[in-house]
Amino acid sequence: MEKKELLRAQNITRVYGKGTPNEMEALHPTNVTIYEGEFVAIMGPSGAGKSTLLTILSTLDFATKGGMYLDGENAAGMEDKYLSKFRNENLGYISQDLTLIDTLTMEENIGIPLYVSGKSQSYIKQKVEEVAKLCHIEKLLKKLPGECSGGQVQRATVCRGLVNDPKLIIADEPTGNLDSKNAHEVLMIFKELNKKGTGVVVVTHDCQIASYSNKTLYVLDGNIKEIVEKGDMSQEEYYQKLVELTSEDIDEIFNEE
Amino acid sequence: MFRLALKMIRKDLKSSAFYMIVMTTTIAISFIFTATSNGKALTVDQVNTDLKSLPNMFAAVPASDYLNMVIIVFCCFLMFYVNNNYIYNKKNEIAILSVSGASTFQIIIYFLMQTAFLFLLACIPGLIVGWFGVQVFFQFVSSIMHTTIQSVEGTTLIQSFIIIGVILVYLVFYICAYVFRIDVKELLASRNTAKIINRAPVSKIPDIVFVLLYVGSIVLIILPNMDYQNLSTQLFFAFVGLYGIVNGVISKLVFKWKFKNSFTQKYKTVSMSNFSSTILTSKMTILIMMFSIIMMFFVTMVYSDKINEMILSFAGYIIAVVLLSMTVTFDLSVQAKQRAVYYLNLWKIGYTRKELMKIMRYEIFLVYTTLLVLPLLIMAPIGYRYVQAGAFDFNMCAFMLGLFVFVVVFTGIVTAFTYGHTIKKSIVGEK
Repeated sequence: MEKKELLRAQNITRVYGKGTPNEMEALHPTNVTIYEGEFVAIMGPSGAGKSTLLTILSTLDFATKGGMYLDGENAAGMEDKYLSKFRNENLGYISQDLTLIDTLTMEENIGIPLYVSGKSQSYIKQKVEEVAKLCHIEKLLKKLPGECSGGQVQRATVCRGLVNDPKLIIADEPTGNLDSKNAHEVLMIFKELNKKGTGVVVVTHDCQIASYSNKTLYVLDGNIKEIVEKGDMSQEEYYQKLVELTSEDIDEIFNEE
Repeated sequence: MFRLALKMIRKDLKSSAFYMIVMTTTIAISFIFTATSNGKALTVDQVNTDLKSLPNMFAAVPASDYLNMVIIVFCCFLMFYVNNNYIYNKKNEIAILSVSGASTFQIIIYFLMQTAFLFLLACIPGLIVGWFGVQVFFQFVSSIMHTTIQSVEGTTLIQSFIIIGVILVYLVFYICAYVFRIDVKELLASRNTAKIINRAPVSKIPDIVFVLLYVGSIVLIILPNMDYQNLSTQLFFAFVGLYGIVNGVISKLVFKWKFKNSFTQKYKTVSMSNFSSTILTSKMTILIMMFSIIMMFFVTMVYSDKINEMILSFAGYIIAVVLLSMTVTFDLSVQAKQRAVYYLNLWKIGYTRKELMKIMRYEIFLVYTTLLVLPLLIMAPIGYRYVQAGAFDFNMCAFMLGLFVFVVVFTGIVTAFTYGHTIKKSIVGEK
């Protein structure tokens, strides 16, 4: 069966500080297509353009040039209202930079996307409890973020990204504040949801995290340098392949010595 | 969204309460001055002028109405400024709403609901305070002008509401512009990073030109052969000079000083850097404060022969001094919050709490000395010329200058206290 295309970026570039002496092309012409039910990792060193690509894919930023297509329609020509609705119904955005609102309880924080879409109180409560159970924070729902650990807050941000049953989860370093056991748990949640048909795009530096995906885009200097497909490889083999890929940069450092 | 907006007001009680207090103050001040300009005690006689030409139309409007407008503009500025900080502290909230699928329109409605709700709440105490303020002000005016106390007309209430309504609409448009201006990517990237500016903008005009304009205009104000009733040109050049000094000259001087003294002056290097950064970050607020206070001082002198206009401009001067000094204090307190981590890091690398307080106090001293001295060097000569010519009362002039000095020194002490509290709190938090 042919996979349904969810997002397509065609020849997108992103230039920061256009027209100023500090003009910088963070993303050179790039093509990316995300299909429903895919699990894609975006890897690369700091400043490579990973987060730039992610924010454009998540419709939070626009490409300077090129087209970004949602269900076949160019996002650049869309009204803000339509883009927002698309985000609310289809995307779950998770980022360690975007933490919780300090004055709301964990429960209220997780329910924000549902408040935005105007769901009923009982529905919000039910959905929040459901995702909280999934991330093992159901006992913390009445607490304020300040009363919880960094890892628990991070899990709550993951819950917020999942609460609207998104078709695509977009995660920027989603396990940054978590230890390896908790990170594994969160990634297994992504994996489970992915098996049920939810797409996942994760930006990470970590080969171990990327090894949960089915496809890795390796970004370097604003270009997709390589695409590695998992195919029939085991997770360990896939991980080794990714380590080899990223170690090319480390070899360069050693060779300099 | 309505539920969430109200929930946030209730949950974020501290900032909601602060916002409401500012609204109450604005409503009260706007009410006092709208009532004053409508009050019969200060209404000037109808001017019989042919209204066919524009200058005549302007001449037909009493100067007190213009002054009233200026005071309302001060109130708008205060609202604008506080709103700016209110929204700035909600950047994370905007970003979360945005990634959760709220459209720009929904976010505007979200803030409009919060603003409208707090406005309605603030109306009651604002109008009560305003009504009492009118009674006190009319009592004061009546005692000077030997007239009876006037009551506030019903139309005043409506006018005051209209003015505040205009401010609110303006705020909503402002929020709209703000939300459009900030892309979420920037919010995501800079959420935890305080914007500290340390470089002066590059100017094609040499610094010495601004200094010469500033000093030269002061000399031209003092010169006895210059007409004291026509100081507009001198004031214009003084403002250009002030703009250049605040906008770049100070920070460049600090940079040169640091180049010579870095690593030899343990406290002063940090204090001077902070001072330069504060001036550059708050330059708009500082310049508006200086320009407004000097202008209101000058206008009071000019209208010294018209009692109605002089009283209103004098009241406007007080409002400018108090409101704008409060705004600068508020601005510096916000900056202190942003610098809490910076001071914490200084503590971590070995500065003691006492040393950090010393650094902070020296910075505050420099900032407030700048705020005090730069306008005072222009205002004092203007006052001197008018008093010398017998056109203005010496005691009144001394009171006005003294009030300015007192308010700036007082707000300086308040800033040092709140700044110090923020620093101490951040260090205690680390423990």
